[in-house]
Amino acid sequence: MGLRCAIPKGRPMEDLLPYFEALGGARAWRDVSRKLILVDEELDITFFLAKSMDVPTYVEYGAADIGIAGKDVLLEHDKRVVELLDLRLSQCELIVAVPDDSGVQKVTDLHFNSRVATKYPRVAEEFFNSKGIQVEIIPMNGSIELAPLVGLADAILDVTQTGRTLRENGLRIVGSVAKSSLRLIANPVSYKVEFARIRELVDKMRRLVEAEVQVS
Amino acid sequence: MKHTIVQTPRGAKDILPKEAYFKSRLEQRAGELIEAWGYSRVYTPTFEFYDALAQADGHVLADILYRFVDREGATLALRPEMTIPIARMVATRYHRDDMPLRLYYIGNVFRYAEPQAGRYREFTQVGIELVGAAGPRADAEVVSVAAAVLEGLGLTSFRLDLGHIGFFRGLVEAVSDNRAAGALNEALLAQDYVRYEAVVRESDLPEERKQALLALPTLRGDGSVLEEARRLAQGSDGALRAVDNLAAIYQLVKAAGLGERVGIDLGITKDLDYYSGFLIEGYTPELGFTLASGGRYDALIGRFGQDFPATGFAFSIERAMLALDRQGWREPPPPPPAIFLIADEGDQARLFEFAAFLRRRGLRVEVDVSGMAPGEALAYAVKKQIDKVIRVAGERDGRPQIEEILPDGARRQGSIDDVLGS
Repeated sequence: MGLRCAIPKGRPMEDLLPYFEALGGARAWRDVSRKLILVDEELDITFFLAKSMDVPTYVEYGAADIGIAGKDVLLEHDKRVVELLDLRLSQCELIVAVPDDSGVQKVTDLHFNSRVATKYPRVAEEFFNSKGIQVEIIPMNGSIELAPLVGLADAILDVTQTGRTLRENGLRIVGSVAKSSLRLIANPVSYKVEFARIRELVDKMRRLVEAEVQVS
Repeated sequence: MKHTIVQTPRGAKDILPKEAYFKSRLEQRAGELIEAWGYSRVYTPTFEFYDALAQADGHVLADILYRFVDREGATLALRPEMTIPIARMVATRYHRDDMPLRLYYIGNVFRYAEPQAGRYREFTQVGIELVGAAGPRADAEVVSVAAAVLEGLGLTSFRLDLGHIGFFRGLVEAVSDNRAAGALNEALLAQDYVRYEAVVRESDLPEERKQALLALPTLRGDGSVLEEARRLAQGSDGALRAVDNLAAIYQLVKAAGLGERVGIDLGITKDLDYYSGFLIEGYTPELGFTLASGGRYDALIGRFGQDFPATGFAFSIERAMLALDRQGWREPPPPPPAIFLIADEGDQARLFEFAAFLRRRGLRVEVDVSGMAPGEALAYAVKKQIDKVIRVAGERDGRPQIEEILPDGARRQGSIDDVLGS
């Protein structure tokens, strides 16, 4: 049986396409339509198209042997998965931002009754605790930039690639939490059972990643 | 209604008869299999002094203990695993002449952690501890018992990987920065090989040591891995000793005919710091998580006052059940009672007299306690897969008069011997 690989739908999948093409596969990816399972016969991999936040869950339970997930998602979910390779794709940063007109210049200026809106409540709790800052964390599901604009929060902890969305919404970065990029992950037992196949894939992808980095 | 009245706490569950029967059968079989190797069962308290449990591995266990205070103000905790309580027991109740000691346990343990894939906050562990023997023979016995028990329970495709904590510890000895050594251990434990690689590359280790550490996550496979490991361990006495020790254990395990079941994985690490030597991890492709785990812990018992080397392994019954279930195992249900007895209101005493008579003859009998009519009794017997419905109706010559209610509702009068004989 081929490997089962969970990948995030949408933008990360577009970033990944050239890599899997370079490995000699991904023909099945072109006609994605609404399918959620793509059988890639060239690579002998079955791809599951999942929401990016769910990829580690598929892998933790072994429904998928391997997966590709953002480090931001891995940090938030703390799943028992093996992290094999930094693909250096979909690079972004977890940051703390405040409205332009806020008096806050750095993260430590946030005080005990500041409210921070975020899609990453766990990361936020750990980050602020490690800085010794007590804030109220407001978990949200999307459009985090809206929260400070309407007075729901004083700051946000969110992911940004270019900072454009932040600027467009009148937000300013005051601190960096962590850097993120796509990671190749594996279920711990699959990593044992399918060791040779997974290692082979890791080695091939590592060569692609390193070649890519040297070009840019 | 308040949810705290009708729900079980997160991570805890009720076990209803079908599952309970499967579980108790597995526990019973596991116990018998282990006893065949000369191990004796022990029980330890469900709760211990917090200090005793934290003594062993304060920093790891403190986070996951269920703690509470007794009326004298002492802090107690529910046991999160069984090895530490048994280490305390051995150090305080046994002497040098009692060694080697072969003990086993089946008991519930409690961990206040996020319920994970295949693990509740309360679950049942089965395990063995072989105390008082330091050499590879004892470790090879632990591996052999693990294989025998898992196989004896019906698991078909499990594998056991052997590792050694001394290999990694030997390789990182030369790291001068304690923080870097800690970070390496943490990354290896989390199997975050991206971070692990970054920390190795940034460390102040000599190049060949870096190469050895980078190869660690790939050092798995059959016995040939040990040769590769020995090559990489050059220059580290600790790592070399670990490879030699593991090779000796592996050789014995192979001689026992377990070559197909057992592999080498030098990437195995443990979150508990009491492990001091060989490590074992059991898994099966049906489950995405470890099935069994253990290893050597020579320094643990000494923390309770008397030093004894020791080694052991444990597995969770729930995970074994899950793996068996995925494998298609269906535990046959317990045999139902053979006879369902009913009687009219006036014949209650005769009903009990007759039931007692049948039970003395070794028959499995269920007595109607809700006043069922013959039709209802038939339907009930079908549902419970009970063979016969018998009605006690009056008496003749001082003996209960009985009739069998046949599946079509007809009645067949008869003597006791008629009914029982047919």
